[in-house]
Amino acid sequence: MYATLHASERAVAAARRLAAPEPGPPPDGLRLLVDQVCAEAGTYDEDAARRALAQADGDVAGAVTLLRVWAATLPALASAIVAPEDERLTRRVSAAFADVPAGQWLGAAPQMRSRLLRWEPDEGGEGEPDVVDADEAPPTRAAAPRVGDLLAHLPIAAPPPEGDGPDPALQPLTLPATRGARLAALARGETGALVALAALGHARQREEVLLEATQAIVGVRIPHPRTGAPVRVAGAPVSRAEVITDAEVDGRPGFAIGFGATLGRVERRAIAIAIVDGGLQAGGEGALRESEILAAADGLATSGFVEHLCLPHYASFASYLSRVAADAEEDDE
Amino acid sequence: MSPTVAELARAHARAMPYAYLDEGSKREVRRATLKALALPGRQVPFASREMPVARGWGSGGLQLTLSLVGPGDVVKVIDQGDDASLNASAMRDLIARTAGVETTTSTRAATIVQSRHRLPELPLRADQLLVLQMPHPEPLRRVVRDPARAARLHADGDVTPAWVELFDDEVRHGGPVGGADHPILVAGRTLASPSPVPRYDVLRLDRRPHPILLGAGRLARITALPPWTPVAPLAFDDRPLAPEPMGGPCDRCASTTSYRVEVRPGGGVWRCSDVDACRERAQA
Repeated sequence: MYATLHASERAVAAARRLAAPEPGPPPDGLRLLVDQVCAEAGTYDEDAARRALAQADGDVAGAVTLLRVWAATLPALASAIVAPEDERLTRRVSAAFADVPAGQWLGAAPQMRSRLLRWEPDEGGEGEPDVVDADEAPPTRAAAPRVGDLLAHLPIAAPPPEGDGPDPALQPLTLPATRGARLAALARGETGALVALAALGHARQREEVLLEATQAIVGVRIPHPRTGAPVRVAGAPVSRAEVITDAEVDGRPGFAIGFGATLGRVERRAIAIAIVDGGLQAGGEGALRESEILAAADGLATSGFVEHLCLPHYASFASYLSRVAADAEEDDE
Repeated sequence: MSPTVAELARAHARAMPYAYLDEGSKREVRRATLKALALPGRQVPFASREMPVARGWGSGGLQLTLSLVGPGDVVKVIDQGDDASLNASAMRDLIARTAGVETTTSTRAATIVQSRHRLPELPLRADQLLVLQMPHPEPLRRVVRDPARAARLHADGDVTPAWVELFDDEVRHGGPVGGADHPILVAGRTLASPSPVPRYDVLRLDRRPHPILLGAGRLARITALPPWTPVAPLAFDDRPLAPEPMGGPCDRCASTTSYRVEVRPGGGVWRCSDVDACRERAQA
């Protein structure tokens, strides 16, 4: 027997010790890994994420678990909706139009880095110039209208009613979900799952075009305990994306605009969510179902299921076998 | 003195071959290319390598170019008609650095033009080669979900589902709604994807004097259109494929016949997408 108290306590302790990471300080750098862990946990705390990564020996799902478990019992304060003035853009690109009001800002672009493995610190160096301050600061969201809003003249499927999504860490998800609840759940979806769902959804659409992808540092405000006035208490990086795709609008060819947002700077997460959201709005034959998407997106739920198969199933397995065994015996008679 | 085993082991996998790909990989791409040329319009599978550009960013086109480039070549790489695109420029640098070739932005000066989503507007000659980056080699993918069934339909020369899709679009929407990547009939019988070039370019594929090679790295397929291959858009006789409607003349070269895109949403300013052709027209 294993994984029960019948097993030798020494063996269990040794197995636990084998799984323990090498002792050492939490890793430096690895900013995008830290951002991925924070995003999937739905909690932005870089220091906690680094500790979680070290403690989980680099296993992302393990680190996300540690972070979510830690955050689950902390008091949750309602924050005010982020004002566009509090969203300081650090990157804004449009693949639909070369020239968009308030301009395109490349910011940090990991996709543009070399994909060749370096063996020496400076080998294959790209002669990278120093980052210099731009002549002007990138705008806030208030000064940069959403590219999607500039397409009002096109037949675009009316998006489902907008509104605050409930915090998926605090409220259960019931189906059909509001769009806010859906987007909130996807915002902390597992990165690989989101990308896979976007690829599956894409196979059912003719085209997706990235209207806009932005990264920003958003200011988080909470009501001042005495005056009630919103005060800024924190800032966190957020990635957002809007993707246009084909959809029937009143029986005619038209478009739907999908939206995705997530904590952190792992841009593909936001783009994937926007593709999934656009596909859900477009609907149609063969489209992925909301229930399937939401079930597959939550990494901790899916990893939990897959890994729970390691638990003993001795009793249920006997029951599972008996049904077929009984049938076979009846056939023999 | 001959190297020690330790030295060889240390150096292993650290040196880069000519034109980036190792000879085995080049041979794989070339064999598939020859097969594709012998079977115009067919999707020929090849063992696509992981490239130093992301899959979907031109890895198929890049493998074609790198398997064919030689020291005497002059290479031009464009994205949406523009040499200055960051992705195109990164691939151009990789090709130039690893193959030691000259690069150019002039369509006329190039021996190999690698392009994403556009056919160069200045006509290519028989001694030039056009490589197109292709995301989706399967023209039936929207109507036939199962790739194995699609392959069987191609083998049987049965492209009915594509006609049905076209008819469906015609009845319900009054014309094809797909935009770029309108399916083509190669040599009157093989259904193929022209890559997501606009309909304007689909209408310019017929009987070109130069080979066109289409590479899909992510989906590991090569398709070829040998010189002078008859190519027609899939269309009913009484419903010919129409190019995209365009608003105004180019704000740089004043052309009214080029392929132009609106520079900013609803701004009413139109500009040629083929930068080199536009520059030539503006200087004329």
